Amino acid sequence: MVGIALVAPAILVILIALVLPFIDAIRASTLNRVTGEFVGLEHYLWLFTDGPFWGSLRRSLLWTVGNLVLQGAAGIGVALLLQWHFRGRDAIRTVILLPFVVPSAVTAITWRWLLNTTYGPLNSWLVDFGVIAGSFNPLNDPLTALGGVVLINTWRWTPLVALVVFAVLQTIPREEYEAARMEGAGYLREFWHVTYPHLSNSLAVLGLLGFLLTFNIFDLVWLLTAGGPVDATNTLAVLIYDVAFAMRNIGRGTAISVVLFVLLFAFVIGYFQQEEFKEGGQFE
Amino acid sequence: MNWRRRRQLGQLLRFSLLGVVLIVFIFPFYWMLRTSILPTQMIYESTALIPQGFTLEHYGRVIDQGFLTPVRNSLITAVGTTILTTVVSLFAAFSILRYRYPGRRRAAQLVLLTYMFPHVALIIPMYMLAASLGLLESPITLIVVHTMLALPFCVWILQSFLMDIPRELEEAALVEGASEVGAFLRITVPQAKPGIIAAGTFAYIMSWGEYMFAYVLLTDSDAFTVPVALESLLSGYVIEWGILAAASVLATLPVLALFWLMAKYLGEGIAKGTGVV
Repeated sequence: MVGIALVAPAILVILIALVLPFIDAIRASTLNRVTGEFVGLEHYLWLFTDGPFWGSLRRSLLWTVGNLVLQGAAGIGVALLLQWHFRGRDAIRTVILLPFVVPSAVTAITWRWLLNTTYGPLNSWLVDFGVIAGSFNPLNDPLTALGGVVLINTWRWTPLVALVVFAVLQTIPREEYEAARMEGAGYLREFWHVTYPHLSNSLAVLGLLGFLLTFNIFDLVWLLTAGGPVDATNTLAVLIYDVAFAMRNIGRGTAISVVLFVLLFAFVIGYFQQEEFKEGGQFE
Repeated sequence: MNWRRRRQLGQLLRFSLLGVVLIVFIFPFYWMLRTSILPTQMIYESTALIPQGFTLEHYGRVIDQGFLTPVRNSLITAVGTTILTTVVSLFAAFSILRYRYPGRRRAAQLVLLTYMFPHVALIIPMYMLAASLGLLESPITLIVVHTMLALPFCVWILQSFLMDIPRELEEAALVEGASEVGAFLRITVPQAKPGIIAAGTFAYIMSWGEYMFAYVLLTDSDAFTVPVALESLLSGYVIEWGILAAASVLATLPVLALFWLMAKYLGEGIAKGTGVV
């Protein structure tokens, strides 16, 4: 009884602020936005046939996978650099977390200013050094905008990934490295045979969490490009907002979000079917 | 090339890479700070690395424009969220680990479930719910929403820290006549302190920076939080970068005060958390 009483407030918060509003959203996805009458699956039909859904889904996948790959690689790289003992390591470990702790609005302002074609330092320097011929803001070009927001979001999250990987690295027994060195393993073989096996479990869980969180990111994309230019960064999260608020079509907007939820749910179920999760009793 | 030489080269490479990492992650903030203290004219004339002038004019104007009101609103929301999240998640994590009831072993996976919901979809029903309760301008609405966002993660972190506390300590206290509440407060809470700090700072930082819900739920400019106020500066007809930079610096200070606490414990907390799923 005490146990249930202690967990009840948490469940209550999730019910009030997450589950119930979402059930309401499901209901809204079957209603006409003006008259409020029941239209069945009309919005879903729109979405799968001629709507912007497929384009946004493709961009969402590119956005998510791009972010995860880059953050994983950069995060592991930074963590390995920090693994060496040197003076000031703790200070550096703390300071590089800065991009993660500032509000996303500050991140957006900062990068828009840095990339500003007229007054921004990056353009001015790159032109001065002759690297690029004329000023260029990747966020304003449909070809590069998605890559640009992916890189900025990677910049924001890499420090956290590095910090977590670093913490996992600390749990690897030193003897394993010494044994590998005795056998004459180089850095690469050492990473592959000693470091990676210890990381893979954490990375599997971290990757899943990252996938869900990244797929649903709205704020940074919205503040950097608002889904533009020409829909180049219009991911599903942005599309939902756009359809529901800018076009004031709540039924269609919520229909997209219900489909997105189902997709993510299916993804998680599939992910848990992987071998790593099947073995071992911890998972039950 | 002898062995010693290779070692030195390796050392050099490592420190250069570290230098690059530091520049990549820190330079953008340096540039904002630099912009915030440059006289307006110079902001648009020079991209010199070292500022050639100094003024506090932008800070003065940001404060004159009433930027301290959103700072106050954000502080109320973030502190409220931190307290609510920490208490609720500590109870939940403790309950999951120490008591037996159906479903508790699935808790770590349920945490993931909460992150599958597209949060964008929640803002419309949430807006209507808050409006019907007359809570649109009240910080309570945002505090509950932010708690929902931070809670699953904090339960996860706290659970991993609580698992390391030997149960015998609590049991010993009970045997010595402490009440269950007493054992919890005097044994469990102090032992879980690093986890509580990690969870609390995470909730604070999340709430301080949260933009989407605040943007939709707060319709009155007097109730704006910092991210919403920043966005309104960014979407004006003329963007005054000096003011924007000063506002960004002001928006960053309240998290700077805390985040070194997080750097110490959060990485460990999440790393342990990945072990319990």
